[in-house]
Amino acid sequence: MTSPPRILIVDDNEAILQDYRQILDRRELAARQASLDELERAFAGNAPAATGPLQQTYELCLLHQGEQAVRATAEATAAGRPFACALVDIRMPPGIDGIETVAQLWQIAPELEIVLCSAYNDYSWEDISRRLDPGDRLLLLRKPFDPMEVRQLAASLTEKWRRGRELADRLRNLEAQVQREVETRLRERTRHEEEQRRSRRLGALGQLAAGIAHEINTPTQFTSASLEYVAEVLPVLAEGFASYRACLLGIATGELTVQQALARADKIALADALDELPRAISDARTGISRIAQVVQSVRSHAHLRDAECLVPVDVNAQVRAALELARNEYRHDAEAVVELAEVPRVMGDAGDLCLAIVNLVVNAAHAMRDKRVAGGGSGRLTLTTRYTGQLVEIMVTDTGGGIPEAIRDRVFEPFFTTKPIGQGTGQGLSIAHATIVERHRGSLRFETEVGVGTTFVIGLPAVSEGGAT
Amino acid sequence: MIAEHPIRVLFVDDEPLVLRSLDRALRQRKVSWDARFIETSTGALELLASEQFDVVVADLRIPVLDGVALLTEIQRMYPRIARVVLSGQVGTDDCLRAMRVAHQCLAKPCDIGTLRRLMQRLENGQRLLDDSELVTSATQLSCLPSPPSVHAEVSTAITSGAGLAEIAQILDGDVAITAKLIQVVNSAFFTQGPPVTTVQRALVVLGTDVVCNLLLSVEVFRGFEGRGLAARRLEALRRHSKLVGLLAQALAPRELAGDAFAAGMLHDTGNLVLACLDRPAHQVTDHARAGGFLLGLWGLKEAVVDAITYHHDPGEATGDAALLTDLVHVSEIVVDDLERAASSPDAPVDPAWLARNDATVLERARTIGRAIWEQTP
Repeated sequence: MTSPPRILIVDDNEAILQDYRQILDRRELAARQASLDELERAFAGNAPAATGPLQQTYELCLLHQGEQAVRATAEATAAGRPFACALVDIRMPPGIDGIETVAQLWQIAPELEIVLCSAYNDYSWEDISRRLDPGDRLLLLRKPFDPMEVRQLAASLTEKWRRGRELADRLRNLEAQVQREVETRLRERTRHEEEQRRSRRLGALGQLAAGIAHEINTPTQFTSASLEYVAEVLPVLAEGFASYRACLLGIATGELTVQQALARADKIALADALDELPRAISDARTGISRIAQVVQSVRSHAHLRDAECLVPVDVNAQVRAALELARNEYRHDAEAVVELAEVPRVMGDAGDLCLAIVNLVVNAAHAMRDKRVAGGGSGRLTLTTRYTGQLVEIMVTDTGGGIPEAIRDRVFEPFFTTKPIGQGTGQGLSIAHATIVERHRGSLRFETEVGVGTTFVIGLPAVSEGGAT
Repeated sequence: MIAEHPIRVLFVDDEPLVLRSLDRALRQRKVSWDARFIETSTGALELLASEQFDVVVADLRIPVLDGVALLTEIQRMYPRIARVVLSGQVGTDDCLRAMRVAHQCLAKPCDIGTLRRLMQRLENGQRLLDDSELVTSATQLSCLPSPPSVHAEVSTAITSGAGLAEIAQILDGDVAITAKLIQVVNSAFFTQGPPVTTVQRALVVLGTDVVCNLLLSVEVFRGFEGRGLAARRLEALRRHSKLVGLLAQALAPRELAGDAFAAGMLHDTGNLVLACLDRPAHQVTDHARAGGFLLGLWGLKEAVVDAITYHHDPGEATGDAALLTDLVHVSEIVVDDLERAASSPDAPVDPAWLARNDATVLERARTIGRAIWEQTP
């Protein structure tokens, strides 16, 4: 059962306080009503239903002075047992008057229902309104009051207060619920975006890994074939030496003349093997160094990828690395021209930047391949860097077919591709865009002319002088 | 006679060092084949126009026409030439594209021994079939036909987003697609290690995306376009193949169960080759040899290929293949009997089979065969 509503009553007159008690205290009421109940039972044969405002129980707090009331209210609110309603006399010498009391009470408990009581016409409603913002929680009661009037007031005001609180509680709950819901959705969305970003990145990494695998598998092929040759030819050499030794032995034992031995030695065909062996070894070494080069270019930004924070990056080095990684994509379709200017460093993730450039190069290569296949001749891929005074710009220019007007708005959309199914994921440019714009706060735009080619321009803010090491 | 001359192989790769090192190693190994080396696809096509070749081994990334385009051109112009890919590519898209036209795919780095075994098998296959027209048409094929109903069902299932289990259900017992899936899964791009011979395993290894991608491609999966009788025979072949596969599997020792099912399931693949040619088999062994030839070309496990090749004359099978061949032989006889609904005690089991097997095995096969017959829809 909930505790009864608390009513604060402030009046400097002790007699009036006792009147209030008699009117509102249920024990007093019960004593008077008991005899009536007896009568009713005698007539109707059953107990009267305990209904109506008059049966309400209150916890009363009777005080003489405004200051006491303010203190009591503060304590009650702090204890979590706030007053629902306060009946306040207007004149309460020697302390603060009722209006000041109410002003202070409302500062502590804004939702408190107030009844101002006065026997004097010293304050009009207008006067009170000037000093207090009455809102809907202030009533005026003229003394002398009718007990029933007071009971009704107490009942309806405590009920109003209770409902107001209930409503506020519900609103608070609802707000909290909405807030939680919004936060959950937001978290989910963030997580979803993060997942998408990761999967885009993994997709890009997969593409890169496939490219790297190809770059390694080819030299591995000719390195291993060359070594197989070396392994096969060694027994041949051994056999040859054994034959020479047999010739020498023949001379030593007198079985062969020097002439005969020479003739026999001439038939031992080692010349081919001796010519070929150094070439095979050199090919194997070429293979190994090519593999080492690929591994080096991967490793050079593999450890940078670990750090999520951005560090000063040498853009030119990333351009060169990207060109090396994507070599396989463009080498049949275009010659590459690199024009790198002295540029300041930019804050970035070297691996991501390199990947973005790889994606632009691959895109350019495919554009030129399409043009070449259609009979347009071999292309030219130009990578340029420059410094505008604020931005470091990286330009990837192709001599492909250009981007048709109709699809210019869509080139950075994820999964947008003009390639047949199975030949492009449509992720390259969207990854580049996300990397440059979202991660590096840079810009990515393009200039294109149908039939002439396209230039993609990456713009990245340069590291300010003395800004970073 | 086909294999009188040494087998002639053309290698196409844009990396001169790959060609040079292969040339050197092959010469030192004194392989029995004639090898030529060329760096571009246009160069390859010129050489093909002036000289005869039996095999082309091409990289995927070669200038002008890429490897897939080159092999497609070869398939059209020189249908007899075996098409092999030797590539360092590892991307699934490239590999799938390659498998639509290539008979086999080898992954770089690939040692001389692997190349040698491949050439050996191609040579043997040609010698065994000894039917120039059949060799040519089987070599030109990149896939076998499925009954039109299967084709329609699979297409609908995939476009409506069906899962692997549902697709497997539809494909169950389809000879053409079983053969193709096993071919693809065994290409060096997808598996390293022991050969895969079951469709279930192939589906798991390849995954839904790749399987759907494959099945939607016309180069891999097509419905039979022949006339009524042949189409009906194709439908009948489906149940027959599945029964023989199940029976061979049931009779096989556990470690051979997968291979036995594959061999039984695919034993009449040659009938599909003949159906594509629209030619009846001259001899009963024609279809067995044709099937064995095609699946050998596709790089299926050697023992399985041998069991298919010799399932009508098990006496020819030796070594590991003998047991598998016996299993397929007896399974087919039992299933044939059941199909005729007149199980005769004097079933024409090959004498070579009887020499290796006990008559009780035949009885056991009949009992199990009847049970499988009753359970298989």
